[in-house]
Amino acid sequence: MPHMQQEKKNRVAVLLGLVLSMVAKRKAAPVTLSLKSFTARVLVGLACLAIAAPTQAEMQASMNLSGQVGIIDMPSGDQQPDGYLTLNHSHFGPIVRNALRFQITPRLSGTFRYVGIHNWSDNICPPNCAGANAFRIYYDRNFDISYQILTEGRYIPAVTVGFQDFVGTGLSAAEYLAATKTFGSRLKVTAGLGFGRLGSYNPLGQPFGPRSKINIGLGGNINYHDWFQGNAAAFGGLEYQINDKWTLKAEYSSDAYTTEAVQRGTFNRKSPFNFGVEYAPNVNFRLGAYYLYGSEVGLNITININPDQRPRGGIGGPGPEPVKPRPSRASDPAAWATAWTQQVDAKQILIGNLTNNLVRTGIVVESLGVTADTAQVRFRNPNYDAAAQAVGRVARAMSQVMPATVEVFELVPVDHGIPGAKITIHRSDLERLEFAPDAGAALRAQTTFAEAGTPLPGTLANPEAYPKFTWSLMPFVRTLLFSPSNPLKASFGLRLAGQYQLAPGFILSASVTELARGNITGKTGRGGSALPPVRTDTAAYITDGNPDLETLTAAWYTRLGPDVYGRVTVGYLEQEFGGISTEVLWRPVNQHWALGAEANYVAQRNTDGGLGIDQFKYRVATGHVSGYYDFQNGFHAQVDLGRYLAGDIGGTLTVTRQFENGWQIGAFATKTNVSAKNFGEGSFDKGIILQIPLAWFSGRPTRSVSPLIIRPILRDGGARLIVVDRLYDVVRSYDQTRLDAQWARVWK
Amino acid sequence: MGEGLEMNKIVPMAALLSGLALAGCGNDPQVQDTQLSLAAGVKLGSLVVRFGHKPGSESLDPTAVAALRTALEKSGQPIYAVSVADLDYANLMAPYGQNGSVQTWASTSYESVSMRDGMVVATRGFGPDIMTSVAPDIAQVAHASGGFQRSYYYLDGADQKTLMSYACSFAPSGSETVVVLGKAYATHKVTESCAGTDSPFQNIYWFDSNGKLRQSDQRLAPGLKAMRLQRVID
Repeated sequence: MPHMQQEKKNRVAVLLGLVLSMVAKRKAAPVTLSLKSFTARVLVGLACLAIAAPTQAEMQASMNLSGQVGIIDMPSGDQQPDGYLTLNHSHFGPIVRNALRFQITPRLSGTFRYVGIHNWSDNICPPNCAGANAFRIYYDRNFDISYQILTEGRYIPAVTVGFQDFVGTGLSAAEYLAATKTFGSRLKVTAGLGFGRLGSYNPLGQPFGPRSKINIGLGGNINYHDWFQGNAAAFGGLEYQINDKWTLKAEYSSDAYTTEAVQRGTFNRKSPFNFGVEYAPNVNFRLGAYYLYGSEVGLNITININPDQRPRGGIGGPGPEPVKPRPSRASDPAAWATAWTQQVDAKQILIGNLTNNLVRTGIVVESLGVTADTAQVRFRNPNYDAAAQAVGRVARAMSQVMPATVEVFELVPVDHGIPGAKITIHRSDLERLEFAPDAGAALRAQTTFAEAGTPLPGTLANPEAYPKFTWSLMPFVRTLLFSPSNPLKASFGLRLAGQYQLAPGFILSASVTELARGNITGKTGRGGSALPPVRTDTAAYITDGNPDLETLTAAWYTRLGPDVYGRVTVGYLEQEFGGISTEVLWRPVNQHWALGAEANYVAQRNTDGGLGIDQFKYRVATGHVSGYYDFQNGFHAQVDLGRYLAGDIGGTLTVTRQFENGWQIGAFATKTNVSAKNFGEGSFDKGIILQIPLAWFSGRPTRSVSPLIIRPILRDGGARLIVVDRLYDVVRSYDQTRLDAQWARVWK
Repeated sequence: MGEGLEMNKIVPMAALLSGLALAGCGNDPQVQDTQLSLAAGVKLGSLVVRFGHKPGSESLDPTAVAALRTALEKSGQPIYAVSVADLDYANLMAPYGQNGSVQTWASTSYESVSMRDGMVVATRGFGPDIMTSVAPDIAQVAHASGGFQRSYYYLDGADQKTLMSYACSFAPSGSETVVVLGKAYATHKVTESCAGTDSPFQNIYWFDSNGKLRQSDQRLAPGLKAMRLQRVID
C-alpha cells in the first residue's frame, strides 16, 4: 500500500475516534423501551406536542378536582377537544381523586375516577367499626358521562348535562346542568344547577321529587331512577385568564360534603367559596393551587394527551429504497426479454434479491409466484405498525429486482400464516407517481384491494422463511387494582418468552415468569364468591410458585376458504386455565363486519404455575359467538354472546374508538345470568380498554402495543378465557379500513 | 441484466464513503461489513458537515478535513453534505436513485433527499418528511425574480396528509463566500421568501461562479429551521 494512503488511513482513524466520542453522547435511545426511557419519551413527546399545538388563542378548557371539565370543584358547560385523554390527580383536605377522562366524541365524554377519602372513620371507629367504618381510608370508583347539549355561540353559552358516579355506590352521585359563556378572550362565567351531591348545599327545593338514600352496598347499578331527583342547588364561578399561562378562578360550590364533612368530620366545611390559581405552561399540562371551603388547601394536576396526533408528528425511521424505473423498451430491448421465465432458478434468485433488498426492513418474503407479467409476493411484516408502509417497502423492492416485463405486483401480507389481503399495484404507477403531488392518494386510486385468494401456480416458498425461532427476556408487571385495602398492588418480574414457527400457521409458544418483588399477596378462596372462583384467586396465581409456567401452547392458524379463517390452540392457554380453544371467523374482505365463533374446553390450573390441573378439579366448556362491526367513523363495536368461565351465560358489549395511528380507547360491559348479589361487589363485569401503540411514543415504526384493561373490580361472573392472538385481531391488521387509515405511509 | 438474472448487491452507493474513510478497503458485499461501514460512515459524515457548517468553530484538525476532502475527490463520487440543525442531524449523501428528472440522494443511515436539479422535492427518514412537493425550477431561482406557488405534502401524527401552500418570490441578496468542507467558493445569493399556510419562511440559495448551486437552505418542515444542503463533490 502506498505511503500516502497509509497516512490517510491513520488520520481518518483518529478523526473517527473523535467523532465516535462526540456521536456517542448524542446517540438516540434504543427503540426498546425500558420503563425509564418510556417515561422520558412521554415527557419529550408531550413537550414536542406543545410546540406543534396551535397557540392558545382561545381559553382552554380546564379540569376540576373531580377530573371533569370545570372550575375548581364544580363542573362547567365546556368539553375538551375531541379525542383528548386527560389524566387528573387532585388532593384537598382528606380527599384524593385520580381520574381518567376521555372525550369520546366532540360532545360526549366519559370519566373513570378513583376516590380516596382519608380519616374516613377517625371520628366513628371506635366505637362503631361495622361495615364501611372498618376502613381508615374509604376508596370509591366512579364512572361519569357528560354530554354537551349546546355548543357555545355568539350569544348562547355552552351547556353540558352531566351524570356523575352513575353506576357507583351513590356516594359521589350527582347530576348537573352547567352553562358556560366566554366573554372576550379572557373571561368565562359558569352557572349551573346540581342534584344529588351537587344539590346538597343551600338547596332550592326538590323540583322533581325526593331521592333515595345513599346506599354503600354492592354498587354497580345504574341509578337512573334517582337522576335529577331530590334537592337541587345552584352553583357557579368565574375563570379569568391573566395571560397565556396563568388563570385565576373563583366559585360558589353547591356540594355540602354531607358524608365527608357533616357526618364524618373528615374536614371542616366553613364556606361555599373556593379560590384558586392555575399555571398551564402548554396545552398538555396544568397545575392548580386552591383555597377551598374556608379551611383547606388543594392541588390539581392535569395531563392532556391527544391520541390522534403522534407527538413527534410524522413517523421516523430509515427511509426506503427508491423506486427503480425500468429502461424504455426502445433503449434497452434486452431488459424486456422474457427468456428468464425459462430459467429454472429464476424464482430462487428473485426471492434472494428481494430478501436482500428488504433486509433492513425486517420484512420476510414467505413465497413468490411469478409469470412474465405478474409477480405475487407473500410476506410477513414484523415491524411496521402501518400495513401500508410495509406494502410500500415491498412494492419498491419489487421495482428494484423484478424483470422489466413484470408489470403487475400482487402483495399479500401474511400474519400467523394467514394471508390477510391481496393488494395489487401496477409497476408503471409506482414509477410514475413516486414524486407526484399527493402521491399517496394518487397511488391508492390505482390500487386494488381484494381477498388474498390462493397463490399463483408454481409459487415457490422461501426456504429461509421457516422454521423461525424468536425469543425475548423482558421485565413485566402484574397489577391488582382497586382492592379495598390497597388500590394499587403490583408485582414485578422477568418474563422469558419463546416462539417457534414451524411452518406457515404452525406456532409453538411458551412463556415463563419469575417474580422479583411486589406487594401482591393473597390466598385462594379470598373472594368468598358464590360462583366457581375462576378469577378471584388471581392473587394466589401471582404469588404461589415461582417461577411460573405462564403459557405453553401449540397453535394452528389457517385460511379455510375465501373470507373464512380458523384457529386451534391447545395447551396451557393462560396462567389460570389450560385446554383447547377453537375458533372460526368469517370476515368478507370488502365488508365492515365479521362473524366469529369460539368453542373452548378448559381446566383450571393449579395456582403454583406448574403443569397440574388437580387443585380445583374445575372443568368448563366455554365459548361465544361474536359479531364485529366497524362504523367507519372511528368507532368499532363487538358483541359476544355465550358461556363464560364460571358457566354463566350472557353477553359482552365492547365499544372502542380507534384512531388511525393505532390507539384504541374503549369500554366493555358484560351481563350474565348471575344476579348482582351473587356477582358481588360491582354487580356486573365492566371495564376500560386502552391500547397504546409504542410507535406513538417512539416516533419510529413498531408493531408493539401496550394494552391495558382497567376493571373497577375483578370478579368471577362474566369472565372470559384469555387466548393470545384471537383470529379477529390477527386478520384485522390487514383489513381495508386499517390499510386505508394509514395508506399515506405507503410512500414512507 | 440482459437475458439472465444475477444476484443483486445490496450495498448502497453511499457505503463507498465509509469504505474510503477506512482507506481504500473497497466495497464489501457482506451485510455485516456493510452495517459496520454504514455505522462508521454516519459518524464520519456528521463530523464533516459540522466543519462545513461552522468553519473554524470546532477545534479539530483542519488537515483532517483536507484529507477527507482529498479522499472524497479521489473517489469522484458525487457528494452532498446535508444537515438539519433542529434535528441535530448532519450527514453525507451520495446518489441513490433516479426517477426521471428527480435524483434521490441517501446517507449511509438511509435518510434521503430527492431533488430536481438541487431543488428539494421530497425527503425520507427524518420523521417530519416532505412526502412530495411542487417546487420551482432551478432556472427560475437562478434568475432571482418573479414568483412561484409552492405546495408541500406532509403527514401528520395520525398519518394523514397535510397540504401546505405558499406564495414565494425570489430576490437577489448579494455576494458571499461559502466554505464547503474546507473549500471556499465565491457565490451570489438568492433569497426565496414564502408566505402561506403557516408562518412565513425563507429558502436561500448560493450559486458559485460557474452558476452551480453550491449551497442552499431549503425548508424541511414547519417549525424547523431550514435543511442545509452543500454540494461537496460535483
